[in-house]
Amino acid sequence: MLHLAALALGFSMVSAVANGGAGQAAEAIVWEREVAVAQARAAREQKPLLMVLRCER
Amino acid sequence: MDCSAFDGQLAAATPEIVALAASFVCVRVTDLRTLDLARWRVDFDLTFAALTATPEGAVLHRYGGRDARDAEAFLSLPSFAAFLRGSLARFTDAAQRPAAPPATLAPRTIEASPTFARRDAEKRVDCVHCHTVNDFEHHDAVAEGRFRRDQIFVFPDPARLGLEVERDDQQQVAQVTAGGAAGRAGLAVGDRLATVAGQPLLTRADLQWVLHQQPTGACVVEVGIVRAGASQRLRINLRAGWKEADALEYAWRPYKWNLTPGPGFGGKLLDAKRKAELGLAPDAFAQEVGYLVTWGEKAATGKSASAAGLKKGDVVVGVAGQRDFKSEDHFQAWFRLTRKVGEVVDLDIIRAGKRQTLRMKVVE
Repeated sequence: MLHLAALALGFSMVSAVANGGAGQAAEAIVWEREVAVAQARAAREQKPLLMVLRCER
Repeated sequence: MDCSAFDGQLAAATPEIVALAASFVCVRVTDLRTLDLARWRVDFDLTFAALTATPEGAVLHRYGGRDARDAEAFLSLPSFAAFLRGSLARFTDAAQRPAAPPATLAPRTIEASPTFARRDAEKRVDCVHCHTVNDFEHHDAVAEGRFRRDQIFVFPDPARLGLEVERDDQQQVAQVTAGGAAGRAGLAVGDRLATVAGQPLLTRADLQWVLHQQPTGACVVEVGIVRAGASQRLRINLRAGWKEADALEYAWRPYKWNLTPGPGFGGKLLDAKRKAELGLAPDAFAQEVGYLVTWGEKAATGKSASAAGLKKGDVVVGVAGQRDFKSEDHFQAWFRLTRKVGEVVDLDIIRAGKRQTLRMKVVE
């Protein structure tokens, strides 16, 4: 999982705040990085998926 | 990078969006390797797109879109919140929730594309960008003899119907073009779009997805609208070729770089100061040739331009009599959409302050 807040700084920064580590803001959206993982979680939790496709070309 | 401003706004999401997002499992995809392209389709020319789906893989709604000038023209926090709210409502209403895709729908990834696999084997593609999907599906279609010209008009703009929607409330009709198909059908500014071709509509991208799947020939698209609180159905009659965008509308799409024939050269447009030095009007087209495509698969195009006498540093002010290009992208799209292999075009140039006309053969 990762914080979307980090993405404004550039995707390369994500690892620094990923995986729900210390400093995770309660207000942040939590993002999975793998569709298969997200889909499995959605099935388990019976929630819909929200998929963002961001081209950083 | 296009869409960075909206991406930043989303990063600092409003409490409403954070609360809505908590009802979803959220995933962000920046590399399309392994993505199942049979299920997850968006307008891959965009730099930001989103979709919502059931856990079984049925898409609820799509989000994202732009116009010729602005990559963020239809991205906003209010419309994104509406997209999440509407998706959640459809997901929780058993009568509205779409059925799971058929089990027979085989997964298909970019790695299964023969032309992608060949390129990847020659030199590993580090990051599969969204537009790469269009590129390699196009190359596959050409290589396999399946290519049809109308396939290039992906996710048709609502302008093809003669309408536009509001940015923040994308069910609301903002413009209806006089004499356009939507206007002839009776659609009016202020109408709320509820369905299109029987599909629930929340966003501009939902409309484009339905249009994407319609034939390019003459056809009828039925829209369900709400006007003054009453529901109505209108039939929009579309004429053959309705999907075909003009070069200016198409110019922003990376897809254009796949189209042939190309001019074999390109470069930046001059600024107003340099135009003035050359005696050109501030809004005149003036492109300084920065490169000739004399390498790779399209080397013949650059060699043809070179054979015509074109050189780096020349300033191109007209091509085949056209002088009203708004951007480099516009010129490139126009050339690729309108020129034919074998024809000879005039290149009006300025070199060392003097005007000349070169004659260039258009080649594949």
